[in-house]
Amino acid sequence: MSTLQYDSTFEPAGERALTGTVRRYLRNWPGVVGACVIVLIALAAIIGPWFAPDPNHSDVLSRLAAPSGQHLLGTDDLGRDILARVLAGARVALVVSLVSSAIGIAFAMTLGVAAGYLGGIVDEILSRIFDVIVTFPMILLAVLIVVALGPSLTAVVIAIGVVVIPRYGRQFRVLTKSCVQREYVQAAIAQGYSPLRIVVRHVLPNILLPIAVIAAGNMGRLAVAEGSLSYLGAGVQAPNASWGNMISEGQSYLQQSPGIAVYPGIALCAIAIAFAFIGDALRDAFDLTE
Amino acid sequence: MSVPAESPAEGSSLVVEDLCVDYRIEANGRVQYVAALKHLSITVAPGTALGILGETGSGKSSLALAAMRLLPKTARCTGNIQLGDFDMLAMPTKRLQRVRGREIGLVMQDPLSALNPVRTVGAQIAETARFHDHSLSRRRSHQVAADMLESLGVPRERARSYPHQLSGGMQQRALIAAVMVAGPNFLIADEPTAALDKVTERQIVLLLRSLQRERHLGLLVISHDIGVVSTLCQEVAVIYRGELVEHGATSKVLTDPQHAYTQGLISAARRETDDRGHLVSFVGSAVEA
Repeated sequence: MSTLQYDSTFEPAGERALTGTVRRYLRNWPGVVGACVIVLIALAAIIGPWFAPDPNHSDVLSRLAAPSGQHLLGTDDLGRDILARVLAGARVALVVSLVSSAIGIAFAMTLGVAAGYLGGIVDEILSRIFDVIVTFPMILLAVLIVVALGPSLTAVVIAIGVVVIPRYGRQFRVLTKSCVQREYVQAAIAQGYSPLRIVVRHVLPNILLPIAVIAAGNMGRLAVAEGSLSYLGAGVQAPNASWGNMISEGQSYLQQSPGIAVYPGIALCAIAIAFAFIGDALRDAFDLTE
Repeated sequence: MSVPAESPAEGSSLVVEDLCVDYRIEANGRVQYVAALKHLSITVAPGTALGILGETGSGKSSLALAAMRLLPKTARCTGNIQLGDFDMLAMPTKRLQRVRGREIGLVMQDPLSALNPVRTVGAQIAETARFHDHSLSRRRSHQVAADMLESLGVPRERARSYPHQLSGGMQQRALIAAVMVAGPNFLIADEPTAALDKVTERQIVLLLRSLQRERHLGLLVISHDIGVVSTLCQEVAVIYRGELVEHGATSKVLTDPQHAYTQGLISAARRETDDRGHLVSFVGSAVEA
């Protein structure tokens, strides 16, 4: 591109490495499709509600209506607009997967890095706690937490966040352990740096990328977990819409009006598959095979 | 806090007395201790360089790790290591953090793995500079880093490079810069040239020699390479199976070795062969221990 360059290595490395990663990502079609799907869902969830009718407004005169110009996906048994409710459900699904990931990763990072860096008795105790929680079925534990807190969107976010802590915590622990044995961490200790500085400046930058990739792939599962909780009644409460409780409400009308349950089901599948594709594509793009 | 004023311009001495290092290994459920160093005593006078010669497994790297107190948790370490006024083995961790880097620096053998791969070399050197001199501004610390690189023969612009973008020689210079910018009085170089080719090795050795002379550093060079040690060090100690077998002025030890192991090392380095055409080696390898 530039005509005269003495030494191409003078370019900042970060940028060059990044363009290579982007190129590798774009060559992966499932990853591109996944990213498009998530962007579409996110855009629809953010701007959709301004155009769609109120998702909780019930028009008793047009119950179980077929799709029409007024209700693009028809209406449910209480005459509420299905499209509006699917969009409202998308907001819930995205908020839950993002915020619970953030909560889970924040706590997992603190605990997992502490276990991996300090080792010894701290590691033993934290690892055993992680093991015990992981053996517990994820949804059952989440239901227990929601029940204890009282069902609400906040409770769902907290429950799913807590459930993923040990799963990410183990990843942080293992990555920290392998990072600490590297010579550059030993060199940092030999420079007299404090453990906190070593962890923040030298360990975390080297392990955050794989965690971020795993987290991206996992977000779909968290959305499904939210759907499951709401389906079981331990999540977002009626009349507020969530894909889970739409499916559970719609299943009694599967014969007459399958759209009530099918559209949120499709949305849930789409978000789960899309995030899984994104996770795989990111992993390949960053070449994280080791 | 800046560098303590009382730190002597002459460099520090390193006195190792009766140092024993054992590693615990568990094999078939049995716990065993393998001795890496046995009752080792050496002294490096301020501003002088001592070379530790020995083959792989002789325990010489354990000495470097013990002196920095970087031995893994499976190691058992007894004896006494005194750096100037600091008792390296007994000192509490908080004080140890102030001594490491500032008083004693460690140059590791593989610069590519000793530098953090996700940060530019300039940022790493600047971090050390700022860590040891809090009065430095962020911008100023980056200038200090570039100056340091330049003084060690690396173009200033390379401060913006990541470690993998540099040649092996430049990586080693950058690593030395990161250690020297803290201003230590004593330097331990653990196989400083093991990852380098012969030409670069020579340049790095000469660089270390000029640094040592200009700054009157105490220097402990750990190497299996007689050439490296003879260029850098006035004195040499030969370690075999964790024990000191020979110690003296470099010229004397290398021209008139007393111990059979030293004789073997020297003739192996000269590629001398015995009457059957085999390289001369010392009977019984260190690994058997």
